Amino acid sequence: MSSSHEGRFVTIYFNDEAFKVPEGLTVMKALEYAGIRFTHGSGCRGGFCGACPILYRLPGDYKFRVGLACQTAVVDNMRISLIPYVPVVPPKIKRSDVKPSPGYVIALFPELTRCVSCNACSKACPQGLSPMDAVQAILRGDLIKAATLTFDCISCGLCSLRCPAEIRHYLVFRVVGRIVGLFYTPKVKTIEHRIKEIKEGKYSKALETLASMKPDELRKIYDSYLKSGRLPEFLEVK
Amino acid sequence: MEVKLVLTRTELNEYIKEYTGRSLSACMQCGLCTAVCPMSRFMDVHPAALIRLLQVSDVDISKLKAIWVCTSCMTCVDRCPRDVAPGMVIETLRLLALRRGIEPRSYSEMPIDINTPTLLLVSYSRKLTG
Amino acid sequence: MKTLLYYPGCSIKKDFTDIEKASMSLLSALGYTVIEIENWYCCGGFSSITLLDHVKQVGAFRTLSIASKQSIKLSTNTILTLCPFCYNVLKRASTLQVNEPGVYRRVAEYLKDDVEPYSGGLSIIHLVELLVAELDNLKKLVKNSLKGLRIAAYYGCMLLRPKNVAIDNPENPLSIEKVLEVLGAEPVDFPYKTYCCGAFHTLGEAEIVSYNSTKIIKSAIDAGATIIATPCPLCLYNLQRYSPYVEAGIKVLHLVDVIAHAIGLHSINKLINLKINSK
Repeated sequence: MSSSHEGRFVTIYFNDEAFKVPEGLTVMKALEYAGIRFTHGSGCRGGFCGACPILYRLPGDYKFRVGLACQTAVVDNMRISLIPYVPVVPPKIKRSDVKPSPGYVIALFPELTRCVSCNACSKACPQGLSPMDAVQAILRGDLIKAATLTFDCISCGLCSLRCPAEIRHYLVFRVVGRIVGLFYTPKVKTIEHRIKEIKEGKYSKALETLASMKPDELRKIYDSYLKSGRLPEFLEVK
Repeated sequence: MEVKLVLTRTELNEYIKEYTGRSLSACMQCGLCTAVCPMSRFMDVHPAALIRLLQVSDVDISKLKAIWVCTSCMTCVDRCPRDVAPGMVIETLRLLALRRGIEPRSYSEMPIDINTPTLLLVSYSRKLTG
Repeated sequence: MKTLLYYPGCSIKKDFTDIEKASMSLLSALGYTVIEIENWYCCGGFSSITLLDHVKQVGAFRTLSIASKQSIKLSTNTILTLCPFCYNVLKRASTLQVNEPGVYRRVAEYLKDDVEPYSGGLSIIHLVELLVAELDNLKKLVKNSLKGLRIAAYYGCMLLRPKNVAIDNPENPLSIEKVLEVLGAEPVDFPYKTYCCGAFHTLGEAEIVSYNSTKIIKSAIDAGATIIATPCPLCLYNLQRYSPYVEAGIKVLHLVDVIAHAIGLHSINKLINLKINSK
């Protein structure tokens, strides 16, 4: 099918079927161009939700390559497989049971002790993270390091797919991140102070007044605020 | 799913030669390995008998309990007068089973909690999970 | 100044931090500077005893690669381990690199993508070996002699087998006994001092550990000991778990704990006035 597209076309293989697609498109757009409709495995289209991981190989090279369909540009003769879901069964966790201890994490996920540091996980990460270093940090007892290393994890599951120890990486990282956030990250004092003020009712009167006003009254206040940068006296809270 | 793992005498001897570098035929059935083994009383087939079994018969490895009892303490390996290394033979059979997905039990059947020493879990995982 | 690289292992870091602290104080008192290896990898807790299980060696070799780099900066080529399992794994890995270049080449090829493969030159020691080499200096540190205490040394498996990595004669080791003598205690020999306690079976078939541990404990009691000292965290856990069930009663302690009492890090009274459990 020729079109007004003046650029070149490349051939990509999806499930071993060949498609001619315009050069320069992402894999996701290219597959849609070819008529494939994404009913699963597509999300934010911005490289952050982890819904569209792909595995692919290039001609003349044995290496497995990974990426996100929405972020990877098509390459001539690439052979693609979509991985919309890697199965994990999350454990049921009660907030009251959560403890800031590596023993808690390892008891929840004992398969962490099967890690042989093969590094298949890091080779599979489309975000360029190192899940192996995070797992080893947990085994060393360093939860904070593990949480810091996996902050950008998008839970795509490719590492778990490749792991010979069958570790459920993104579930582990989620729990570790929560633990570090709950127990180790310093609380923001100004937010705590503001919440206290709100609970004490410092802002209640102003809010009630605003809520009871009519739309054109609100608009007058807003326009005057835009001009002068100041709120009317009855809304100022000291 | 019941997984059977029946290996013929020839296959077993080949695997064992590859994985241990030693030959089963060197065993003279002196019984020293069984005598020094700290786990032999818990095994269905004690080490010397297991070597004899492998010498003469095809074996369904999935039915052996002994391979999950051995702790690889290596006393038999150090003391065997013919260097048959029964401990290495048992670990070979264990590896052959683990690599086909046969495991003695799952983590959910074990008493694991926040105080379980990591070394306990790591050594268990390394030897009895595949 | 004697510098050592230090490989803690998962258990020392999480479950036995007081043993680590005491060990560090002891080493400092003996004149050693101990530097932990950065980003060490879990050794795996056991080596494979077959010839064809290369993937299980990877963690140990990654650690040796990192330690190699650090050793150049720190001008030391010795790694100290506190845990016998870690000692066994790292020692066998470093021996494999020397004795089986064909096998090592395969592992090194695999690791080449991520790290510069270890090329030899590191020596691995366990704390007990270090203490045997420092008996005279250890004697000088003794503040509270353990005179009158009859202590049985329990070695476990990993420091003594296989023969080529043993720190002492596997048939009749005497290293720990030498250390105990220097502290003033009376070492008690007993036939089950190198008998496997049951290791990881605590998780699956606890009867095995119960039987073996009880056998070891009873033998030590029969030989006249009131304390069992062991350098292995797993043996310590297993023996302590089952010692309350042995009627005559005996105290099971980590070797470093005993030393800490003798050199004044812990109160000696706690050791002398031991409550012997009887049920």
